[in-house]
Amino acid sequence: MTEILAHQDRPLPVGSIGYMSTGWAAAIFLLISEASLFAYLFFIYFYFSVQPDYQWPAGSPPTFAFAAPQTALVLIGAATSWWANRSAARGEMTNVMIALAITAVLGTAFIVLQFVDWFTEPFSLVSSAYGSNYFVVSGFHLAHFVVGWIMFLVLLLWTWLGYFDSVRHVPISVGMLYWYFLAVTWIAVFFVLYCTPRFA
Amino acid sequence: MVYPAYARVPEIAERSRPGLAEALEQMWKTPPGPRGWLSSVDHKEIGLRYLVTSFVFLIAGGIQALIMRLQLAHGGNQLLTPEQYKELFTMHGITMILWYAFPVLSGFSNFLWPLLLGARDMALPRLNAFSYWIFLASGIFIYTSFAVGAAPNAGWFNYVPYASREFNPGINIDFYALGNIFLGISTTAGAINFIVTTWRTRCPGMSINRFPIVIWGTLTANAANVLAIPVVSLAFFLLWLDRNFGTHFYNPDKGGQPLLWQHLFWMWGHPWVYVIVLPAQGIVSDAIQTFCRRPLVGYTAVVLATVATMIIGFGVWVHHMFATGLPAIGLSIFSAASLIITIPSAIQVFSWIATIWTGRPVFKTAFFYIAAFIVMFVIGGVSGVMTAVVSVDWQLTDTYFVVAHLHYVLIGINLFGVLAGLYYWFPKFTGKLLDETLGKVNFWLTFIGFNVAFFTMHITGLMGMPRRVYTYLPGLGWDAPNLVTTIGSFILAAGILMLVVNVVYSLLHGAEAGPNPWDAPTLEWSTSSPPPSYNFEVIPSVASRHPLWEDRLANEAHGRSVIERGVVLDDHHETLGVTSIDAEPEIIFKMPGESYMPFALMLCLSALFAGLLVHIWGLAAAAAVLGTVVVIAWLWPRAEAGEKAIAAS
Repeated sequence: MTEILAHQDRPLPVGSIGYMSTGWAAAIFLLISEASLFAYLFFIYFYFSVQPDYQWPAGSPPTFAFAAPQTALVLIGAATSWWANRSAARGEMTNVMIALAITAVLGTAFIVLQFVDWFTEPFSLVSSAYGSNYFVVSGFHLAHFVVGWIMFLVLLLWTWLGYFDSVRHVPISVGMLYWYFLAVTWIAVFFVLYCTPRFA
Repeated sequence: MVYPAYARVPEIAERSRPGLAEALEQMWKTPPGPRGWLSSVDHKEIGLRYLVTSFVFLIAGGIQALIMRLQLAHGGNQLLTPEQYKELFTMHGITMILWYAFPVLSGFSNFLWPLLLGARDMALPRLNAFSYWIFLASGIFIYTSFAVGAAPNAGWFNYVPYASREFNPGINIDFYALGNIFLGISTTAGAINFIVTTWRTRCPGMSINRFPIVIWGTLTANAANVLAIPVVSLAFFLLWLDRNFGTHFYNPDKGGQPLLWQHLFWMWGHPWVYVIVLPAQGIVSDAIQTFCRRPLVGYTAVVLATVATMIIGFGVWVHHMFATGLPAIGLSIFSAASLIITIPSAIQVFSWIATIWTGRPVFKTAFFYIAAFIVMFVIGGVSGVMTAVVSVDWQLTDTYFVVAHLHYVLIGINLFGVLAGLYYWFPKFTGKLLDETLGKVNFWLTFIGFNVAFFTMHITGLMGMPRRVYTYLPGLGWDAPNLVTTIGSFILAAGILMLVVNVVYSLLHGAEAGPNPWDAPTLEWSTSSPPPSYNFEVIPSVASRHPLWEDRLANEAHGRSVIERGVVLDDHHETLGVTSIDAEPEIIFKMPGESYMPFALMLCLSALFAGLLVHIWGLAAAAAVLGTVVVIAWLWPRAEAGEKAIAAS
């Protein structure tokens, strides 16, 4: 098509740049796949909950004492990871490092709270079908969270090494996207595991 | 080492510019010897590995089937013990459905995708190598079960409670559970790669209404994989937890739900049926144009039918569970959804028939396979409609009728399509034409053997013979049809043997193919056979669905496709990124070269799964930590790939 070639006198961006990059596209589809994993987990949870004559949950619902602060942490983390990406686009690399470090600290607190919650609940992985469901759903989320936490530490290292500038920072954008995924799935986990048992 | 600028005006040149091909070859060629074997990221190399490996699995699964057919040749036979028989039918199903049927299509797609789309490689070349290595490693993992005498033995759909620890205490089912999750990693990685490649890396003008149908078929199947693989991985993971840690998902004594297994398995299992046929239908839709000397009739309708089949395919899983006592209203809904699938399927069939009817068929072996594919699809489709009706299904479920149906679908619509594709693209893969005389022998043996074996199975099923029994009493009237099926299966095997003979003979003595031996219309035929490591000297620009037929097709395009002149991109590994719908040039991508990281990560994951299988937790933990380090090294920003700030470079 001659007109396509005729326009080729303008410069094209080269390399890995923002939302045009293949890494960004791959991250989106990987996260769609991971999100569908959580959709299936919720299907399983509700499949059990609608069975007749089931004690669901087993005993009182899981406590808000740790899950509520966890919700606050992931939402603040969504803001700081957004700030990291925006600072990177503006070339303010010191702000990027501050934002990444804050997000990593929030992630640490989230992980600690999740473990405390686990040891507080009166049921266990093997005590009942409810316990199995609770621990597998929250366990899958925690496993994804640990991956995200490692990701932010590595991003912090790469930024500190000066690898990124206002053009080249796709990994920071992917990190932001991943944290959004963690936040959205956590809100779903929070709603399903902690809120819906109280609706009855 | 090159440190790419942030932007540049791409050079445009003639394809024949002196020195261009040599310079590109120097940049793109895979190093020879073991270094290249372990580090290659060339999509053509990976595609061929996929094809060869999946054919090895096809032959392994076929041998298992032949042994079973010997056992069933007459009633009361004692060739196999029940334990051996159930391991054989389980491994046969697992091998064919998981390690042959989809990977073979990934092989075609891997080789052809960038060539069809006008790119230099897949968008994520290292992920491509990774998905192959995991496919291979997971296959070795599952076949290790034979070596230790504990192959999976609960059928490929592995129903609980028979697959639970209580009734199946050995390591057999753990092999399947972990092996399936392992393979799922490969399938998901491959799926993401196909989607991103279609989305980002095509040639200018390759807008979505110009994709070859095989692109649509494979893209649709892989979009489904992204959504469906998690549920089967999850189902097997929960089973593994139940078996090894005492959780209560499937065992009823502490509130587990055995029927949940069937839901989860078929929520993946039925979409998977379309995943392994839609790309094969795409192969036929593309090849039929070449062998009928005209464009496909109803391109848009076929594309929409492909996508519609997949979407509806997510809502029919309960038709595998009609006999489980679910409420009638539920059965009615899923029965109706299953019947609706006939509409998009019929659209495709009528489109192919119209293409043949209004075309000028060229009776090469590939066309024979295409024609047989259509007939097999109709037979398999009709028996599928029958079993989609609840009352008929209650009569036929768990009989050989269902076995006949599923083989018409899987062999008829997968294997026949694959063989059509093999005869069509073998010259592009190897530079040699497959022999036509041997090809006809190969076709008729395969076609006759297949129909003798499997059409008879419909009758065996209607006579009431249940599936999955290792033997049967003589005198029930089942001996004769079973013997016919056994004879047919050996004729089919002779057909596949002839294929192997033909491939070997043609590689040694086949006629030179040249770039376009079939006078075919699409981009892959514009480059040499086999294609050079860089695919295209210059990135072509296309103006129609049939860039090589524009001179003879009136009203095909407003402009003309340009093959001989285009964007050069010779600054190390580069390909063009385009806008997603209209395919206008948007960015120049810097592609990674050879890498050991995919192979290293495969080793880590193999150790991880081995550790989980035999409960050596230290090995599993060490492999997980090492694997994390490999992933970080893999993703480490590289200057030559345009991932680092220039100041840092």
